[in-house]
Amino acid sequence: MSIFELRCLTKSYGKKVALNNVGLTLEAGRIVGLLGPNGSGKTTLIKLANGLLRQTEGMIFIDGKEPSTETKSIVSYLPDKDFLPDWMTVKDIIAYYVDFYSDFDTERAKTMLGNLNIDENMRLGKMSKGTREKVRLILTMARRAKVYFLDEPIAGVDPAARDYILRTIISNYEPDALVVISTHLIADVENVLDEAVFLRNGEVILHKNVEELVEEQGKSLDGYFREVFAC
Amino acid sequence: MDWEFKKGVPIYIQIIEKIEFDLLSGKYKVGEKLPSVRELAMEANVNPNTMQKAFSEMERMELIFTERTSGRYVTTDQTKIDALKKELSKKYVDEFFDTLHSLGFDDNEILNAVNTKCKGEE
Amino acid sequence: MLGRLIKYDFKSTFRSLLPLCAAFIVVGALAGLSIPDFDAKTAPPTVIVVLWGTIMFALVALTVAVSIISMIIVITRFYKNLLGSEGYLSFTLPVSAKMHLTSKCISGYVEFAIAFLSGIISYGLFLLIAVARVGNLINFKKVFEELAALIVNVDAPYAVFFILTALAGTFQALIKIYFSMMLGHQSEDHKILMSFVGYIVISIIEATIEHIISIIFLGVSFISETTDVVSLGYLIMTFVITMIFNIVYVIGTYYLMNNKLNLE
Repeated sequence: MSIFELRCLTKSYGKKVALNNVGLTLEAGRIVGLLGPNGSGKTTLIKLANGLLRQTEGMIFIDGKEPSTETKSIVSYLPDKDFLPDWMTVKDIIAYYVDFYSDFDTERAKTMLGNLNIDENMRLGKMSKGTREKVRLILTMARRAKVYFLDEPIAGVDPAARDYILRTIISNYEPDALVVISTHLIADVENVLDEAVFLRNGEVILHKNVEELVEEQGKSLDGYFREVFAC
Repeated sequence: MDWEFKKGVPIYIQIIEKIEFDLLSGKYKVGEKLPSVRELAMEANVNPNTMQKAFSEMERMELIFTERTSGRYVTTDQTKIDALKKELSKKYVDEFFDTLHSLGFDDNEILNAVNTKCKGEE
Repeated sequence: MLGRLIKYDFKSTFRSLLPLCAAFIVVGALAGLSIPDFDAKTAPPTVIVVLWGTIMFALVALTVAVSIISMIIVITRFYKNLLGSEGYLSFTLPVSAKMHLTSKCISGYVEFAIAFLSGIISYGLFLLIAVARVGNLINFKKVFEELAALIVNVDAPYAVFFILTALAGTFQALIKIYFSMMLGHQSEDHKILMSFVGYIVISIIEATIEHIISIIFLGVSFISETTDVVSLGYLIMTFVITMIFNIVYVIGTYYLMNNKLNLE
């Protein structure tokens, strides 16, 4: 049984169709890129998988179950939003994660914070934007989840931290976990991806192994993406 | 160690090339234990599955072998390494000739250039 | 899990609520401590009177402030934690919408209660200290006696329903705010504006329904024969209607939170 499956998934807002009859199956032990221009439905898809939206039609299965409190305990989501409470310190938010997620690995979190020289006692509201992004990523990756959804994990971060983040994603790799990365910065992440899913206007137009695609097309994933989505 | 990958060529092929390079340049000695797939993947900033694929291919090529409990090792068979050396030298020489031919050099001019270089190095 | 949600609600809101209520209580005590003896043989010095006057002003200001700010604190907590960016954190916790709503209902109610109690304590301290210090404030004694007489005359069912209605009414104030916010959240832009509009619309519907019901039940007399205040029957009816509204609002809020969530 695959760890992530979408069947005939449709989400519409009145007349506007964000996702149109999407079918997709992803296996554990893979790092998958969810790629497409703005408005292609990437964020809608991820929100649906996380139970933040209700679909209009179709089904979503995470490890065989539909999105619920049960699936939330095995899915770790990094949204493209600053969701941290200003008033908490790093220590506070770690305690919060420990309180609610049984799979949170405090040791791992503290190690990563140390590697990036982030002071545990600092208030989140007082940190720079870049540092807050790093904290959010660390919290997400410190969970030993079965499915990770990372929405633009490296977009607002400096190049050195980007490398660290990609290495963290690689080092976090578990054969029984799925990592889905949704991003614009394809060139930066393509070496880390097993598979690529191209989304256009709410439909999946491609789902392929990246190495196979590169071999077939004789160009990088980024190059092929630009070709496919040329305006 | 910096891994540089070029576009348009599958990563696993480029990984194999680099490791072959390291084998011949002496970075990895005959019979030496290789770092784990995960370690190398992190170093190269690539997907562990891709690194795994490269390793599997090199195993098929009999350049490395797996010891079930302890990991992966460079082959102890020197003939394999010698064959690799020969293969790569042919490949780079062919590339060299192809490049210079496309620049308009004929074989004699190429030989002269090579001789000059060798004399210069003496 | 519910306990933890409530814990974090309190952690967030107490930062501003408790200092405010503490200040309120302290000023109440100060008012009692600084009240001059107006019945003394010599008139108290102007300075003292002005000082007390200032403190009284602060007390009144704080009364208004605590009433308004406690409501703002409750509203802000709900909005920030569930409907703002933090909503991405809250709603991806392995916790149901039902629990989130329950937590907000409990913590919001407790926060209102704390604000209310701080008022009781504040004014209570003011009066007790004032009477203890400047005992011959005849006005206060008379008020105490009249209140005592009133309370003694009240019978048990009446008192019970009075308290129940007050408690239910407080919950209604709370859940109405939450429901309006969920309604406002449904609109694409101007979510906050639409929350206000929603609140006004709900209030109008509420008032209309209550009016219709009171017309239907015209038989229930408004003023009882035995005392000068509202009759028991009317009180019970108010309680029942309040509870019905509460149930409707809770169901409505839950439905929207569980099925119609659309975080930006």
